[in-house]
Amino acid sequence: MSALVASDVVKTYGGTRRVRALDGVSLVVDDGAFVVVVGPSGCGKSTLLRLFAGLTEPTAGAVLYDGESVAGPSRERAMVFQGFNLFPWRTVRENVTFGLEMAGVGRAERRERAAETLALVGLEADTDRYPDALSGGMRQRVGLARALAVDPGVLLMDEPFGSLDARTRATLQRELIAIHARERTTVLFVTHDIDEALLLGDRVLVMTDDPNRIVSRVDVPFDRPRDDDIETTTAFVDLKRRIRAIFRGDAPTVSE
Amino acid sequence: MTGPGEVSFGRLRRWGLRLLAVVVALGAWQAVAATQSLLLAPPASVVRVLVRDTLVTRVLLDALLAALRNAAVGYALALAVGVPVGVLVGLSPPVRHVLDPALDGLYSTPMVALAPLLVVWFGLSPVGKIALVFAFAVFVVVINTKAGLTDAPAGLLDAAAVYGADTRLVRLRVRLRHALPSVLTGARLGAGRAVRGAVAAELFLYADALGQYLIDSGASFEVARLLAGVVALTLVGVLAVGSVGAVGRRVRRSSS
Amino acid sequence: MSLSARRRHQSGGAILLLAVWVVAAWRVGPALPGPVALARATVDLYRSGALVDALSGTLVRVALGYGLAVAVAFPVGALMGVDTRLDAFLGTYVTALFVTSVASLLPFLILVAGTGAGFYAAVVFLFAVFHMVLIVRAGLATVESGTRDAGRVYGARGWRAYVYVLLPAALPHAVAALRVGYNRAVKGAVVAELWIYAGIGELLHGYQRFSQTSSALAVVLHVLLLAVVGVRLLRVAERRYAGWRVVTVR
Repeated sequence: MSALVASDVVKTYGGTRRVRALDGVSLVVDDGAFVVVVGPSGCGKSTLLRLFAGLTEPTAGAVLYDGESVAGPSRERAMVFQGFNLFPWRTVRENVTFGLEMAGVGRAERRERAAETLALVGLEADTDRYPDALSGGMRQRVGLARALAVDPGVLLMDEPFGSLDARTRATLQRELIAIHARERTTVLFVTHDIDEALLLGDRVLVMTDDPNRIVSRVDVPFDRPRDDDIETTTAFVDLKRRIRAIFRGDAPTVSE
Repeated sequence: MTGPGEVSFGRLRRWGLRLLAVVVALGAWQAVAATQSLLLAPPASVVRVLVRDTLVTRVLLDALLAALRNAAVGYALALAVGVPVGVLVGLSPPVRHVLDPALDGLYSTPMVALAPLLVVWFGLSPVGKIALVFAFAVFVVVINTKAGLTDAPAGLLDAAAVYGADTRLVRLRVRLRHALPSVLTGARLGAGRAVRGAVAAELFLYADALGQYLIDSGASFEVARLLAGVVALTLVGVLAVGSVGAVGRRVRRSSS
Repeated sequence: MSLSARRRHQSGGAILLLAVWVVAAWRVGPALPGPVALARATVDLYRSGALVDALSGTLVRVALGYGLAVAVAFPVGALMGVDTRLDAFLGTYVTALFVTSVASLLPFLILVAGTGAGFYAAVVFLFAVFHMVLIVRAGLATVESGTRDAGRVYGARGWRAYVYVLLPAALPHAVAALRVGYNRAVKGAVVAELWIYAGIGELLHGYQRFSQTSSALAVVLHVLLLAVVGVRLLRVAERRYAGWRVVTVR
């Protein structure tokens, strides 16, 4: 079963001087899979995620979730943002239960669910604090908990660790791997960091700018559960070299 | 997103709505004036009086110029005192500690309450009017100048230090340069307040030309004349703020 | 016991300013009252009850016009902040009246509204309302797109987007609007009272006539307090409940 499907998606912005943010993109994300889109800034990878989230509509082509055309946002497709986008006027718990509150879930159940998801991301002690009292890493944990709390069919992650320092990033990557192993949630993850893509993904889709397309698909062979020791293996380095060559434009692009 | 020179539909609609707003206002004004001829003059006669009194008999124009003279002198004093004081408060923590609470309070004080005292102190001379303009305008200049200096450009200062420019004089110049936009904002806001101060001086200290024009018009129920004065004053205020703003933009461009 | 540098500077500065004041008052003579004369005048003002009466009257007038301005500014500003068409339409009036000198309207307003409660309400309202509209409008119009996106993704649609995302996000601007509006309202009330020689205005004009500068100065200082105390309280509320978003008011 394919959770997410994009077929020949085109997205343009602007009136006469059109910008092609996506120029014929097709991809499939299977149920339970962890797929990473890697590409330079401006290649349209965030736009792709926003299409799946239902925050914007394709100019041409089809965007499907669970076999049905995506029409607007839904709790089934939760999103984790690079800028966190927490609600600063709500406590950590109130941020995490926001989606449930919108769905009309009762207070007692919301509290219970908040406790579960906050335990999952290691923030049990901070439920009543406000986001501006938290570090960047903690804020993104709240962002992740907010997404997990609605028990989504798919997690859309838009460079979620891009604004964190290297150590925090590594910790959160490890935690995301663990959470994915336990919950088996489908993940579509966007990043510009090749190491991150290979560490996290079952499959890596390589996007380039000009034209903004997916030019290569790489199956990542490492067993799960993974840790960052794989980053020093020859297989990892070889894959990394291959993807870099694609970005430089001096490698034949590989399609399925 | 539209290119330069293009008029987008949204922009066209916005201007259409603004035009509609003006038409509706003039229509309502005309309608009310028709039923309440004693209390409200129709727009056309206000314009007629405005043109007559500024361009033909010049009563209003002369009155405005006389008031503006006070405004200009008071404003110049406000700049001459406000900017150095703002710099001092911004650069010296002891001075800031002493004056900050006072400045904040004086900034929100209804300065017009000083009018009777100014009459006692300066009698019926322009000095009192100039003093009131000064009191209206000076604090916004001081506060904005101070604000520009207190958010110290740490990065810029570090850069200056790295390139061997770590003398006190250079540091001071870097900070002053950084504060310039804020100083210019203070100057622009001060111009608006100076005009308001000059109006208040005309009405509350003693009325010569402009105050007389407004008060006499009111006393003799010449509403068209009264409103012509209000419109003229509004135009003068907009012009003063606009021209100081334009000068500020030029200063900023030529010094960057 | 050691004092912080700030406290040391402040007490030193206060003593210095006091000394300058005393010397200046001594040199200038009766036109500039010294601290003792000012204190005596203040006590007299409280004894006679005139100041308390005048100030409470001012406060009532502020409350009336300010309440009216809040009631109008919040919905209008909110509508302008969320709807670009209404923004263009209503914004035309708000901008035009924002730049109009309200003081120059006084002779006109007195023709229209007389010298009763309606006049005060009108002046205070006109002083306060446009600043408030523009701040509330900015609060809603400048909610970050990321915050809106997060709201949409997690199910805040329709009225819920307003109640759960946009309005709370604009809370800091709402408090700032209350603060600036209150300050403007006090200024309006003082202007109105000076214009028709009532309340504070009556006191000040009376002291002017007989050159009682110490009493006049005492009244001015109380007007200052009336403005500053309210502004300070609202600033505290702003820090306490809305410190997560910095509002710059021009």
